[in-house]
Amino acid sequence: MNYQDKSTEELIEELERYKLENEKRIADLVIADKELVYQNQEKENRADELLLSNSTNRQQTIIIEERKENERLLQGKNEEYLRLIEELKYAKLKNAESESKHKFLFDNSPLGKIYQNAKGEINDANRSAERILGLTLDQMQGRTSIDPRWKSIHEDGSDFPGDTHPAAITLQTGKPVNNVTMGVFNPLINNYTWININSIPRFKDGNSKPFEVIATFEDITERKQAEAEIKTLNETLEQRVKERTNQLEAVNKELESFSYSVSHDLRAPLRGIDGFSRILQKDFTEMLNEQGLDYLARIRKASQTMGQLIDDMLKLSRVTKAEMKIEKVNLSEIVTSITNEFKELSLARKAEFVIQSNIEVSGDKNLLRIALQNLISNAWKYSSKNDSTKIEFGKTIQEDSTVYFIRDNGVGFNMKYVNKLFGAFQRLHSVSEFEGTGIGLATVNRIIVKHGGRIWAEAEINKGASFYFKL
Amino acid sequence: MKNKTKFILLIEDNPDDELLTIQALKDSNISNEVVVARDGEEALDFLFGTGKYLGRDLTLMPQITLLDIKLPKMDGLEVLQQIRANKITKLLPIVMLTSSKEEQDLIHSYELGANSYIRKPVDFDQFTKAIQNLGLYWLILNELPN
Repeated sequence: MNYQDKSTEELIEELERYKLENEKRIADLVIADKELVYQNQEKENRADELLLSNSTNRQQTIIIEERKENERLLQGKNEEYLRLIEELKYAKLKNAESESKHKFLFDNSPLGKIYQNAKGEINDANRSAERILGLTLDQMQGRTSIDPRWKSIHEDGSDFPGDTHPAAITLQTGKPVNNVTMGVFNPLINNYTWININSIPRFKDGNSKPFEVIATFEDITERKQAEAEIKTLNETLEQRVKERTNQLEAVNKELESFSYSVSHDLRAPLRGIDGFSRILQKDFTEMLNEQGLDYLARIRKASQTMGQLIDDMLKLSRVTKAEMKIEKVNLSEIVTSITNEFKELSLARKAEFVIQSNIEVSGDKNLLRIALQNLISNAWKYSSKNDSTKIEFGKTIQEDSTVYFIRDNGVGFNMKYVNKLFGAFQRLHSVSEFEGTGIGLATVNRIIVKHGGRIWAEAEINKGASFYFKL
Repeated sequence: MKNKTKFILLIEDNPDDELLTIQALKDSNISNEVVVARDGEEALDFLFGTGKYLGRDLTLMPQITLLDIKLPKMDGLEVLQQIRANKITKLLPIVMLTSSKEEQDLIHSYELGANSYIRKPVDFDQFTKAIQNLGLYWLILNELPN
C-alpha cells in the first residue's frame, strides 16, 4: 500500500490497528515474559530442589554406609553372643554333669561325709555317714559338734569333748585337721564305731572365716579289731618266743653240760684204758707174747685216737658257740707265725712257703687263726710225702670279689668227693695214709660261714690242692 | 721223814684215776706219801680236822694238793673256794688236775686262787710226764712259807 493513496483516515485506522496489534503483541510478550520468569523461577526452584536432593542423597549414602558397618558389627557381636550362648549352654551342661557326679559320689562314697555350716550345724550328710554313725540325716540335721547327744571317746577310752572334734577345730582355726581317730557311739549297734576323721574348711572369696566345714570319715572298727588281734597275737607270740627261748636255752645248757660231760667223763675211762694198757706193756712184758703186746699197742692207739676225736669235737662245738669279736686282722702275719711253727717242728723237711704280705681283713682274730691253722696243717700234712713241700698263701680276685687261698703241692684229692670235704667226720683219705679225725675242715667251714663267707676247694690227685675262701 | 711231812693230798673220786696217778708218781720216782680223799667233803674234813678227821694234827698240811674239778657232792671249785676262805689252808698250793679243758673252768679256777691247772692227758706216757714235772716243781723246787 502506499500512503499517498490512502486517506488519513485510513491511515489512522491502520495505525490504530497497528497499535492494537502491537499492544496485543506487547501483552503477549508480557505474558510470555511472565511465563519465562515463572519458568525460570520454576527452573531455579527445581535446581534448588535438585541441589538439595543431591546433598540428601550423599548424606543418605553415608548413613547407608554407616548402617552397613553397624550391621556388620552387629552381625559379629551376634555371632559372639551365639558362641557365648553355646558356651554357656555347654558349661551349664557340664556343671549339671559335675553336680550330678558330685552328688553321686557324695551319695555313694564309702567315706562318711558331713557338711557343717559356719555355726557348726550339720546341714547335710551322706548315706555312709548315716550308716557309720547309726543316725539318719534328719536326726543329725542342725546338730553341732558340742551337741550333748554325741558320745565320743579317744583311743584310750577317755572322753572326746565336742569342742575338740576335728570339725570344731577347723571351724575355729580355718585349718584342716587330719587323721584323728575317734570312737563314736552308734545307737544302732549299741556300741562304739571307730572312725578316722579329716576335716576341711571352705571359704568364700576374701573371707578368712570358713563358711562351711566338710568332715570326711572312714569306719576303721574292723581295722582296729584286726590291729587288736594282731597285738594280742604278737603278745602271745612274744610269750611263745620267750617260752621257746627258755626251752632252747635249757636245751643249750643241756648241750653244754653234755659237751662238758663228753670232755670230762668220756676221757676218764679212755685214760683208764690207755693207762692200764701202758702199765701192762711196761710191767708185765714177760707175761705177754708178741701178739699180746701188739694188741695192747692197738688198744692204746685206739684210745688215744678217741681222745683226739673228743678234743676235735669239742673244738668244733666251741667254734660254733664262740662270740665274734670283729677287728682288723693281718692274715699274712698269722700265716707266717703258723708256718714258722711247722718249720721249727721239722727242720729236716724241705719246705718252701710263699706268703703274700699285708693281707688284712676284718674278722675274729682267734677264729681266723684256728681256720688258717687247720688249712695250713692240712697243706703240711698232705704234702708230707713229697720230696719238697710248697705252700702258698695269697689273695686274688674272682668274679669281682677278693678271694684268699692256701695252696699246696701235695697229694690232692679227687674232685668227685669235693662236696664231702667240709662235712664233720668226713675223710677222703684213710687213717693209714694220713692221720686225722675229719673235723678240721668242718671247723674251718663253720668259721668262714660265721664270718658270712664261703669256702671251696680245687684239687687234682697228686697235683696239690687249693682252698679258697672269701669273707 | 722229809717225805712223810711233804705228803701229797689227792682229791679224786675215780678209782682208776687214783690208781693211775699213784702209778705215775711211782714211775716218776716220787715217793712222797699220798693221802686220798674221794670227794670234796672228805677233803675238807681232812684239811680242817673235822668229821672223821676230827682231832687230826693240823700242823701237818700237804705240800701239794691235786684237786679234780668234777667230784660228787661238792665240786672241786667249791672245795678250792673253801680252802682259800679258811685261814689255816688259804696258802696251800693247789693244783687243779682235771679232765676239763673248758675255758670257764680254767678261768674260774685261777679266779678262786688255784696255783696251777693241769689237764690229764689220755696218753699215759704224757700223763706220767705231767705228774713228773708237777712233782719236781711243787715238791722239790717250790718253797713254801713256814
